[in-house]
Amino acid sequence: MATRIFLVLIMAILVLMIATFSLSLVEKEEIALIENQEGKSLNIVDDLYDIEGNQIPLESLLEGKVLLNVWASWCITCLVEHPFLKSITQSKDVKLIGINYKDQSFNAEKYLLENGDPYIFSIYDLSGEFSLKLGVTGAPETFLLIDGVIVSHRIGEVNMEIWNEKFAQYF
Amino acid sequence: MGSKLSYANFSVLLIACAYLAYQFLQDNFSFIYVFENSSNLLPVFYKFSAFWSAHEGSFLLMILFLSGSLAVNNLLFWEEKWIPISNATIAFILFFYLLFQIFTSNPFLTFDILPKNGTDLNPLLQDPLLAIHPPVLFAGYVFYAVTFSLVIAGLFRGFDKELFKNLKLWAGISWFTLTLAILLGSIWAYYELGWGGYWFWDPVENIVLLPWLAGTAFTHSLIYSRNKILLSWMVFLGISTFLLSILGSFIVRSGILNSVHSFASDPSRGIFLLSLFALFAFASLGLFFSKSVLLKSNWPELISKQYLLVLNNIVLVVILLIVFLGTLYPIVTEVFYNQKLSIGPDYFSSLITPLVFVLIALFLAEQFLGYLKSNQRNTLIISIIIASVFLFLFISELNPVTLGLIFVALALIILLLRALVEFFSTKDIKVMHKILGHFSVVLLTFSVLLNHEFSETIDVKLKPGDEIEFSGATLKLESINVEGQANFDSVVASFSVLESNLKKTLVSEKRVYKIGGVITAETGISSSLIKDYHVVLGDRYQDGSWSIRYSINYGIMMIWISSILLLFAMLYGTIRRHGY
Repeated sequence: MATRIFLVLIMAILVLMIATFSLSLVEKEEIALIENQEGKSLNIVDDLYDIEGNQIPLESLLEGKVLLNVWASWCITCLVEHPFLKSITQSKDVKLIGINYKDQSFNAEKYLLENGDPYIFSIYDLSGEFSLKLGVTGAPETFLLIDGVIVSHRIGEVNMEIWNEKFAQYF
Repeated sequence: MGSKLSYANFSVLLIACAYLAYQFLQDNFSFIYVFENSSNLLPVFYKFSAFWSAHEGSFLLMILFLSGSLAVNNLLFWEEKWIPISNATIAFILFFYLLFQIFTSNPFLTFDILPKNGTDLNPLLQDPLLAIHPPVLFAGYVFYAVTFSLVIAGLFRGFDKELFKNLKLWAGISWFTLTLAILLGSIWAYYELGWGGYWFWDPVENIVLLPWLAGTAFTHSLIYSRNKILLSWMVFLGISTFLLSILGSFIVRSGILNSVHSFASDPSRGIFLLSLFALFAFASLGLFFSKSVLLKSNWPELISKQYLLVLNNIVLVVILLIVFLGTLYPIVTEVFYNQKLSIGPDYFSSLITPLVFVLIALFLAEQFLGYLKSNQRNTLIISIIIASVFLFLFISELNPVTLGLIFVALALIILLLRALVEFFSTKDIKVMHKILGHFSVVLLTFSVLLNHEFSETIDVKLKPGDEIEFSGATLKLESINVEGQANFDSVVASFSVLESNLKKTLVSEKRVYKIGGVITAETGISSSLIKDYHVVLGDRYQDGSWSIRYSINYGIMMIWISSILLLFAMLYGTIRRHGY
């Protein structure tokens, strides 16, 4: 009798535990979705500099259609999407501006020298603070701004498929 | 045939591991796993240890260990009656682990392109202690799988003398390994994390503590199980220990709890591991209940060593339940109330401390068991009452921790005296490992209380050359220098501590790793038996001064020493029993 009560108790605890864990796994998937920044407008407080240290005029970011791409020399997916970014700047009238994210400037320069530079310029963001305000969670990410408002935001690699889905309609 | 297959399995896994390790040493960043966890600036030693620094590699290593213990079992115990069922059980586990590895955590995936450099090993893991902590931990987990397989074999074939002998051997090895892993992790936390503590009741620490507590109860329940005392209880603990270790893998590797230890989470892994846990839990517990009728257990008589052992097991299981609830309750609140919650150290320490005192009281009761049984019982009871009354008169003056310290110190002295008396009267100590083990647990408790009660911390702002008086010692920031290493740049701060004409130097560092720009702090520690000076360099202020966290920690060295003594006791107890 005692064994039977023990059995029921243990099995009940097990079932409850497994049910709770399953629920928590399901919940986790929903939480794992990173927030998309579409619809927010760009709000720049600090001065911005490019990789060489020149100050960047804010109008260049806030006027017209601007494609912002977060990259770093240590980021492998950035290297993967780099050829596509080059081809898109060559074939379409795209104003592509980079955000060099948590990178050493000499590594960044070397990266552009070796792989080509499709960017008009790249904002040098060593601390990641500018990117943080923009809502960047990592590299690569790509934002399409129209007059300072984020109309499209891609977290992760941009390729032809993603381009057609998220960005092509604006160009 | 079976034994040859187990060797083949081990050899193939060894080759797979060697192949992956070779890619690390060769900086072959076309392997995604190598790319994510190594870089060409990394020292060779860490390139090698980066193998098990993330989920995929560490799981592969765990499988290698499991396969290795299967091979060792076949090599040494091929003739034993229990080996077929033990082999089948381990092979069953191995099969599902390999499926998991191949389909959700393959470390051999590659890129099409060859990246120039990797994203580096997490700087916190670039520490010699942490390079060996994970393998030891996985070995501990895996050895409990072997223990589990022996228990299952016993359920089918019956528990005989030989099986008990091997069960005690594997249980001892697993217990030792898991304890060593916990100690290494604890030492790492103290020296590397810079939080000034050795145990944080962090979910993942607790998750390792669960199988350890179950394993501790299990090892103790094995002692008298040959006399069929608490046989079914012993089997239940053996199964639970293994299940808790799988549960640990699930919780750490699915990322449902947030912790410094969490691996990057992937839902499919969680689902797979949870299913695996459910499968093993229902299968093994189902088997246990269907066979438990066959396990005739005897209930020990009151006031006997066996009875004390039952009490010990009850206390350990209660501690286990406390840790279990405290660790998993945040998951429950998140699922049902959508609230993120974390349970602080106070919950654990306030509930567990009294239970540890009960354990120590049990150690003491064992010393006087002879008196309790003899006709001198009344004398003993009267003297305990007098002592309690005596203590009670002072209770209003003393705070609980001091009272605890006095109690533990008293226990320490009594245990030591008993051992000495036994040694000088018989020129021998009969169960050395038990006495040493219990002694080190009491010493550990004493050191932890000491640390809890007397340690002090302040946050100060110092310029180079500045001094500060704190708790009877003078801390001076001697100099700040910038140094460069292969894979990081560091700001090195030299301190000196002056206490009663004794000068000690401490060096604390702040490192900026070249890849990814991660900043870590290296703590400066100067240790002695009684107290440690502990300095962590913080941020620099505009005026050139630095924020510094300065602590004086008591008893840390004694905590390490008592843990090492405990490990010795476990090892000696395991080896001695087998006459090796």
